[in-house]
Amino acid sequence: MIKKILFIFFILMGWQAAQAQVAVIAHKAVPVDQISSAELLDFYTGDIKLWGNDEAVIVFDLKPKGEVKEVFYKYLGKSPSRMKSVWMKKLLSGEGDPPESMKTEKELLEKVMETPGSIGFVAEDKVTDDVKVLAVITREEG
Amino acid sequence: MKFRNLKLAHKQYIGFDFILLVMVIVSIYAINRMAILRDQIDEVSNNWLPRALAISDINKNTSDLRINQLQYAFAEDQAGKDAQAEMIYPLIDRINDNRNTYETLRESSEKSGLYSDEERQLYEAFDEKWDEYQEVSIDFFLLARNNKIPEALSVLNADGRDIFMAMSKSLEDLIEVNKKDAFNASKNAQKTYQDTKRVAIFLLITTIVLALVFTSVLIRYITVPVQELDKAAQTVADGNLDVTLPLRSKDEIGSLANSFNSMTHSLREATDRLKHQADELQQQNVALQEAQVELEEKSQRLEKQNTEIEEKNTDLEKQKMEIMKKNLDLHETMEQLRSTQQQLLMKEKMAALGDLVAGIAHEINNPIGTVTSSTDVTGRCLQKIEIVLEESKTLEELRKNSQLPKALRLIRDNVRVTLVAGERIATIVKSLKNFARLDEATYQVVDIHEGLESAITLLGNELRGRIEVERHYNELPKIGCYPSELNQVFMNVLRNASQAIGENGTIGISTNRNNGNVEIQISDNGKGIAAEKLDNIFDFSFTSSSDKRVKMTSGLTTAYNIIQKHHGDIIAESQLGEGTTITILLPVSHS
Repeated sequence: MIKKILFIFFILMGWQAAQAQVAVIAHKAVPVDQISSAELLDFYTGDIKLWGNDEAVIVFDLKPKGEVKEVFYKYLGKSPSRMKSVWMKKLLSGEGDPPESMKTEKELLEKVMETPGSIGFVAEDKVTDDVKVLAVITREEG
Repeated sequence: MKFRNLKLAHKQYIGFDFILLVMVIVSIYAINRMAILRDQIDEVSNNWLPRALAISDINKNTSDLRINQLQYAFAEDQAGKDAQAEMIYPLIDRINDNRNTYETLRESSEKSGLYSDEERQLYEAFDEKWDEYQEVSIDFFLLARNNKIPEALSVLNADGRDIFMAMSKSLEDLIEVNKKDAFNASKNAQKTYQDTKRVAIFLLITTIVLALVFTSVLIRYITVPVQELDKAAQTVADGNLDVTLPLRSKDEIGSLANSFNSMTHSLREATDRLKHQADELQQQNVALQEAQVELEEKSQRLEKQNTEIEEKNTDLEKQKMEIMKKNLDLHETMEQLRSTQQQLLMKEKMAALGDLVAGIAHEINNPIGTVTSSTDVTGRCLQKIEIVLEESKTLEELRKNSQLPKALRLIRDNVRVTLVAGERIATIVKSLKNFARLDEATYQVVDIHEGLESAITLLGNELRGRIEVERHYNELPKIGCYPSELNQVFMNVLRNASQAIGENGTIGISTNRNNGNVEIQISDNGKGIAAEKLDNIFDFSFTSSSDKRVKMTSGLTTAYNIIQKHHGDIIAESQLGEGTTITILLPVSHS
């Protein structure tokens, strides 16, 4: 009996986890349809600054801490504090400015919608047809 | 099986092995505890201390960063800013390096379960504050870059200060926690060391106590009995045999004590026996002395008797000499007797020969007479024939003369008679030759019947006309013998038989095989021999003949001797007035 209950509990947990999916979104006009985590990391650290069509890459960050940001940074393989160390160094050396941080996912979504060559991330259920989804990150752990 | 009943070696094995076991346990325990100790010390030196170092380094670097940020703000130109930026990069790198170090150490500590939740929370708090401080720093640098120095400084001093203080606080707390954990770990190590020391000392004391106990047990089981044994042996050596050792155990010492007891027991018995024997010897000595006195007396008596015996001996010697003399006389007499016997025997032989010769002469005389007379008649017949032949003129006349055929018939008859007589003579001579076997070797294989027949022929004169000889010959093997001697036996026996028969009678001769012998029986129906005389019929001086001639023997003594020489036997059976049967047995395979 206890086993059964636990089983059902874990199924529900799995379903919840399945809900916590984050979409990597981009402006409709970017010249790619999908992206790997390594490429994404290069975009966010500022190591890659241009798309294939020489259009500038503009990345956006989400300011508030939460599940979406956590999942995204885990996918990148760097914690936010580590990422900030990188940005700080780039800023001091003049290699580039850190990405702009949005206060909400909605704001971020809109920013990506209206900024050509931009990349961002929101919870998958918030994605609209006005942006291009380059990857869907499934949270691995429950 | 009780401990006391074990062998000494086994007792020692058990004791020492037990102590060894305890020591091994002590050693294993100590080694094990040392390993734990080493782990605990390693934990302190490999985890807490490096982590504490990393954190304190982070703390120092963040402080340096903040100082450099302020200097950056006050830099007069771009070159100054760049110089400050150059100093800031390595600080950021070092902070990240230290974080890497810390996180790697944390991972290994998590694996061994030595990472506390308190530390985790503190580090997370630091991470959060560090993130926030960097965000503030980025804002600050962006403002400072644009030469908005007062705004930049206010960002750094307002929010930045609080965040920085909180971050420093969490770092200091982390160091504190680390210190505490490290302290706890060393305290643990210390405790482990103390525990180990206590247990080791306890075990050591136990081992010593056990060794002491075992030694005293050994002393009780070995040394004490040995001392007792030594004392007992000393007592026995001093001559006191009334010692008995207590039997404490069944080991070698126990069996030694047992042997010692049985030894003293045997010694006691032996001493008693010796004493007893000494007494007996004393008694026997007295008896011996008495016996010696007696012996001396007897000896004197014996000496006396000896003297007497010597005297008697001398007498006996004299008598012996006399007897020897008599013996010599006797011997001479014997010699004389023997020669007399020889002479007698010779005389007997001569007498027998005389009889035989007379008989034979008579036997031969008859046919010779016949031959003489028939020759005479033949002569006269021949004269008549001569006369007839002279008188007759013609052949016719000769044929008519009756005298001629008569004379011729007479001649023919006489020739026949002469031939018969000649044959008769030849037979007698042959028999004589056969009897004597003069032309043959002395020892031969012969037919007994031939000998018997020769004897009968030679006795022809004595037998003829008055005694009928009945022969019952059976088939006999030839036997090895001295034929002339055997023939004499047959002659003697047959002559005795013929002489025993008065006027007329019958002599029966039968031959048979009897086992390995040839049996010849010669019986007569003469006057027989009286039973008392039958016993010495083969003796020398016996004769049953009443003949006036001096006849010294029956001839059977000779016969007896000859048969003895042939390893045979001669037996006489007789009934007075009815007859005598002489049986001769001769071995066939006599050589």
